Amino acid sequence: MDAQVPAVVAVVVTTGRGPWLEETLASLAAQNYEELSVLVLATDDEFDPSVRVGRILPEAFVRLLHGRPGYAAASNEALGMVEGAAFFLLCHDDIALDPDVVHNMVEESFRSNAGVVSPKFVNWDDPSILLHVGMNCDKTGAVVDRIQDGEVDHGQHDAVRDIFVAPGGCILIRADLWRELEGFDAGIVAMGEDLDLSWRSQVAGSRVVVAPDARVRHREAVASGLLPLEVAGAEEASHPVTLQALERRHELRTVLKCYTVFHLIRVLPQAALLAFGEVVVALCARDRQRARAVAGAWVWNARRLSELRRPRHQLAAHRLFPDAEVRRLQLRGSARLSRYLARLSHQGFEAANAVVSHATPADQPNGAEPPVLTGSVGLSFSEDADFDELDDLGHRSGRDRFGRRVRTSFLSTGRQRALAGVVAAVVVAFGARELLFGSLPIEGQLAPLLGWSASWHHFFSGWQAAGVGTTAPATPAFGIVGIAGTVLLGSMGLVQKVLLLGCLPVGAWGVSRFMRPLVSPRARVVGAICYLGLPLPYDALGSGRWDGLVAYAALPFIVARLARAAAIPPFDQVTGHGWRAGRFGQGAALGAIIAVAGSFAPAVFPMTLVCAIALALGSLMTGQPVSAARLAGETAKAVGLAVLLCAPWAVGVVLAGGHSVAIFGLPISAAAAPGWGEVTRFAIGPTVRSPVAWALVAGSALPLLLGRGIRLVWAARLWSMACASWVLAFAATHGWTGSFTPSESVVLVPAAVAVAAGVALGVSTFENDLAGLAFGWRQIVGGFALAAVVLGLLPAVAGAAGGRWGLAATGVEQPLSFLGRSGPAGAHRTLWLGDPRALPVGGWSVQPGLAFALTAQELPDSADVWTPAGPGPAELVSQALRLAMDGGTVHLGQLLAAQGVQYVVVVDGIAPFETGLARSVAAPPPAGIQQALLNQDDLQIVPGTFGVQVFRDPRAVPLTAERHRPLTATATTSWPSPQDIVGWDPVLSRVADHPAATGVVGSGTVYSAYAPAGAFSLTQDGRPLTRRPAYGWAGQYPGTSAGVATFSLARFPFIPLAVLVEVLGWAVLAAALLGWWLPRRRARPEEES
Amino acid sequence: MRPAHGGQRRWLVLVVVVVVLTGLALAARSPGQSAPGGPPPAPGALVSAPDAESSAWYCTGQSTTAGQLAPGSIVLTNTGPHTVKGTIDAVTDTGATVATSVAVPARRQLVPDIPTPKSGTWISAAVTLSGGGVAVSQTLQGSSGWAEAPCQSSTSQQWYFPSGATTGTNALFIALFNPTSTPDVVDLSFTTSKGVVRPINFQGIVLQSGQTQVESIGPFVQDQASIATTVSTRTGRLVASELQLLTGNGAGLAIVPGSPRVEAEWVIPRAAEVSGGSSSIDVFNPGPTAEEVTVRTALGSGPLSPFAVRVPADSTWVLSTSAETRIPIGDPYSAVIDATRGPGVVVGRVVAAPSSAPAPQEGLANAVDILSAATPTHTWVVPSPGLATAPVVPGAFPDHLALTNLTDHRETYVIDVVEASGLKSIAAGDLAPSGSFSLDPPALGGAGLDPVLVRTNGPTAVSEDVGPTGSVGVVTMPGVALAGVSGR
Repeated sequence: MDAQVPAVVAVVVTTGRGPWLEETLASLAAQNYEELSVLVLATDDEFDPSVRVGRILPEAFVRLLHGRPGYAAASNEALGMVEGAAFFLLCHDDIALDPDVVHNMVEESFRSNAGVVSPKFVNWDDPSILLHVGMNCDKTGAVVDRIQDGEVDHGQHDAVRDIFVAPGGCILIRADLWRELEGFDAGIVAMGEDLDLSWRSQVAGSRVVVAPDARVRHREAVASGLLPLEVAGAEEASHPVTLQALERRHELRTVLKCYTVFHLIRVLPQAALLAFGEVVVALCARDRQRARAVAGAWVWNARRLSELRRPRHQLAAHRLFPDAEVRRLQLRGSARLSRYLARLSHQGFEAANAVVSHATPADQPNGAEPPVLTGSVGLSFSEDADFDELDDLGHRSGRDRFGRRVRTSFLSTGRQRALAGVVAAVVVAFGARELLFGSLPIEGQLAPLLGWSASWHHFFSGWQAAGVGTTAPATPAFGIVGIAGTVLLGSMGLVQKVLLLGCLPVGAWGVSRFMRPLVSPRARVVGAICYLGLPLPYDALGSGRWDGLVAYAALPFIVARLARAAAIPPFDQVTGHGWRAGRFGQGAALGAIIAVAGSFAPAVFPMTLVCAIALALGSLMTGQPVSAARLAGETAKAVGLAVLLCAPWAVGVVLAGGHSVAIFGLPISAAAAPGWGEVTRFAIGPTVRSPVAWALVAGSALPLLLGRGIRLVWAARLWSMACASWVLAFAATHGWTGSFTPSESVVLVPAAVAVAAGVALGVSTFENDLAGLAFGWRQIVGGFALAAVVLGLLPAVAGAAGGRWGLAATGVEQPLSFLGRSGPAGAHRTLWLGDPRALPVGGWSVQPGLAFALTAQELPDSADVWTPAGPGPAELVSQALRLAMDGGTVHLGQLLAAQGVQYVVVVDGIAPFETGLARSVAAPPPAGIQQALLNQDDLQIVPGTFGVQVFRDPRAVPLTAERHRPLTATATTSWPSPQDIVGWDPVLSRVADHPAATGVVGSGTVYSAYAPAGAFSLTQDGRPLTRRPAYGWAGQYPGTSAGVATFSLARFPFIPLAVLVEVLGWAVLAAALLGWWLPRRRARPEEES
Repeated sequence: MRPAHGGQRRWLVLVVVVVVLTGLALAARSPGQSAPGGPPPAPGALVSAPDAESSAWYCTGQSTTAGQLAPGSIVLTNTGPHTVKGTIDAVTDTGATVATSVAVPARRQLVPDIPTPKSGTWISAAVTLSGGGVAVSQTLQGSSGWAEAPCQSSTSQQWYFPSGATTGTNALFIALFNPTSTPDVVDLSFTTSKGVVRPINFQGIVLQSGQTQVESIGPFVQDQASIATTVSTRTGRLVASELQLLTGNGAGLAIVPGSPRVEAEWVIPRAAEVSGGSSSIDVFNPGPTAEEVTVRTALGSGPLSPFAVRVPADSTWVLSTSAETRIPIGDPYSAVIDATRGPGVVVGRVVAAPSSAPAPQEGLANAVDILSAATPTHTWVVPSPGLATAPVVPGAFPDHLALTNLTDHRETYVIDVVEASGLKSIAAGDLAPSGSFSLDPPALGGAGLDPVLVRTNGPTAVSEDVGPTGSVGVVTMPGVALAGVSGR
């Protein structure tokens, strides 16, 4: 009898290990389709399902396959076993079909002229939960579901539509197509055969559709972990192959196979770039499994390129659709990246990286459940007002499912917030465009970084060349820079830009994180943008201030951690996991942040205390006192830990005695100090100085005026912090705080955090406190406040036009280019004088508004920027300068000759004066210093320099020199006499950062201007020469004989050992904070799905 | 505890914020103090503090013995309690150099013998001392008379000379000396009644380090009764002095140290018009803007009606005091010259006594500038022309020591003679507001040729007339300000 309907053969591949086979067979037996035959392929040698099949479906064919072939290879066996079928129904053994599934799928195949038809998959246990209604993928083969994880089936997806991927489990495929494609790719043992088949089907010109009327329950036994993955080829020696790894390698295999060469050239680099980025992110998130899976996919495929030749030829022979057509059916952009960013936006870093707590719900102190991780961007549901218009990737059409245009409120959707963030980032990047692609000038603290190895060496060295030399340990900043330089393969210019410019987004992110428990996502975005819109970071950047930028990045995190450590509501809700969620963990994290930031910006240490005090005062004023003892205790512990982490450096600072506080900043002249208006609107630098910036500050007062409840309390705390910051900045710059004069670019950061957070609270006030009220003065005030915020952002936007954020095009490297080529390298030193803000090197104060520094006779580098707290013996230079400024000498050159000062550079301002251009910020040296130097008989003016005034001392003694006659031995500090500074000839090579030099000396006396003299020795023929003091700090070695001598640092390496311990401490803490040594469990959407 | 949204709490926070911000605003109204960034503007001659590490003086304008025009001596006056050693490095216009080591005993004067250089007509000297507290002056003696003046203690990029003449056989010289390590390029310009003259020969003069050069102005700026000179450098710094040889009705010689800057107030503590003589006050405005200048004169009996005039930029106002009938002949008077509207002026005085008067009959000198008068220590030393046992000029002796109170309140003064054994007070008293005092012989005779130390408690102009001369102001020595004072 001729069949009325086309014949369908259901191919069920089973391992027989699951208990669901019977239900699968029963559902097939219950199909209302007449011409359905069932072929059961058993892939496990140890299991013969014949009895079980015979019990349920006695007419089914059973075939035992040996060697445990994968699902794909097993299914392909059907090609040789079945004749005359019009369709194949490719089934797993853990599905249950509704009775009309085959009927509906065949019918839809004819109706839609589809080669491949997929049913609607629902949850095995709860059929009201959708699993798949077809899937899609992007150009790199990343598969994306069309539905949300756990989405309830309301019929919302019950429309037949084209899909790109027919999910595995139950696929109806035309038999001719199946044969034409030669079945599944047998090289795919599991995970990805459906993508490959669907892709090739479409290349061959067939449609792939989903028929939602056909409903199939799916157990997903392997993907959900109910059954282990047991297929041949799925094991490797070192690590068990995960589903994720299989998925990644097979999707890449599919890409490599299905694109033409031309398209592959276009897509493959993009895929590689995305993979690289994913590996980096995964490593940062400590997700080594993911990193291994992504990287391993490329290695795996690289080893099997030859296998692809035949399938590619085979596919080319059947190709009807060009790649361009295929691409139209795929998602645009990167599905995986979109999903990651969406998660990052909605659930934060940990959720985006699928890091979940290993704690049980019972471990959660407040009973809170761990964050739910879902499989696609739809996890933004709860925050999106218009999810109905989401497509598979959360992209919006602007219309709801009924085709009506949807109106959304401003920044109410994740997409809008992401767009706002992108716009802000573009403005910031546009404003820094010339910095991104050009070299940075030597201005402020922007001297070039030491090389990566030199940074390490400087960090571990027990001696610094600062001043005339010191054994004070170096700041851990050199270690951090060394790490960054090592990671970036020694590209220190890139390190400098990344660290400097990276502070801007990190700071904004910090504000967003800080405000997370307090306000809505919309308010967080507004707060972060306002933080970016304040003049402070750009002024710091334009002035070349590392400390200001680092503090800008760190202090939002510090304030948030302070609140969390002190359990100030709502920060008392524990959101972390493990020991890091506890008080000790919070304190440790806070201490680590302070230590890192304080290494670059030491003023962060006292500012943390200021913030803590201000928070307590603000709480007190609102009648919501926090536990002052706890806040003080946690802050003290964190700062103490930070100091401990920086112990060698901190000890060196303390040993500087009265100079210790100079590490926080040097006093500037009160006459050149910023005024009240400049301080309160953060206009302390060369750019974004418009008074309009006040509008932003004014706008942040809204929660203080209209906020209620926790918003008012926090507004009070923030404004208390802002007032403390402003008062301290004003006092420090006007000389009211004595020798404690922290840099204003750091001191003002808490105020900036407060203003940005205040704006976010203002938005929250609008959302919560004004929403239900009748229109009145409050709404008017609120409207003005929001308008002020928008207005206040304009100066920063306008400041972006210059492309450099006020940073000069050239620094002192241009007028002082001769420094590196004047005389034997390192033979002398350069004395820098100027306002502390203008010196391109770190220095020490002579008087308010005048600082000095001694560097090697070359352009400065970062070793000259992050100098010790005290000048050590270089204090003599300060005394000589004071003498000259008091009119007490006309021989300053003679007084400085012993220190080897050949050039005296007086810096006129932050950036060298360029003819025709106005000075950016007035930071001139005191008026009399030039006069004092001009009065000196032994200093020559070096003509032809702009922006700096240079004097030369022709009688400077080389740093290592020799002459026949010894110096008069002086045990105490003294000035050199005219006879002391004549007759010296340079010997040995430079010492600089490497305190060792060898050279030929003559008979006589060798002088060395390196301190401390006792730390050095001069040897000849392995015999140390007797050292005698010179001027109380330098050394002389009389009685040298002609020959080779070696000058070297000779002392027990206490400091390198201490620094080594310090590094170990950092490593241990970092490992603990990052959870590298703790067991953890990761949730991976891929595995869940 | 009140709820957080209680009105009182909100207002408390608002009040605190407003108070803090208002307080900051009020505090910001008081301008920040500029840090003392080095020495304040100093006069051309300033004695360093005794505890200074080193100090230097520069003397220029003398001719060598071979040059004969105006050979002279250098006088070192140690006001401090310790011997100060130093070196005098003299250089002539031909580059010949001689160096002399000196040791100036405590509270003593020294007139060292400087060897005659091998060649050269003009000589300049740099006196380098290994300490402070020493004033250095120079005396010149030529065929037409003698003169004395302080040397200069600093270099400058510009020097101003308000007076000078090239009429008749009068000869005017500008001596330039570069004691610094940096080469100079120097321009000279002259302001006469006909305008500003910039002779090409005096433009771009190059002075190497340690070089001295003297320019004769007469051949290029001829027959001018009033010449004001500006010396300015394009690069570098130098010292400059003016040498005036007067050979008119009378004879005279003047050595005038340049003024390194314009100032708003100048003082002539004591002047007097003599019958048959003439005198003038020369007010030179080298600046780019006009100055409103007022000359306030006062007799012992009270002030006279002031003279006021607007002095245009780059011009000189010559106030012929001898022609002003309001100034009686024979009565000593003081004059205070104020300039407003601009940075200031430079003031000098030209005096010509009758030819019958004792030589020298003519001379010129700068008025006392306000920087010298307002020195913070309120202490001045007046070097004498040589030692008591060996005056640099035979018969020279102090004639008047005049003080003018520049404040509007009463001042006290003490006048001491600096002797090796210590300071010996010879006069003390009060100065009326804006009043003057003159210590005349015989009280001044007690000082002999020992240097005099004047101490007051406020800004005071100090000047000494040295005789015998034909008129007050022919040979004068201003009080040289002390930057620091050692204990007695």
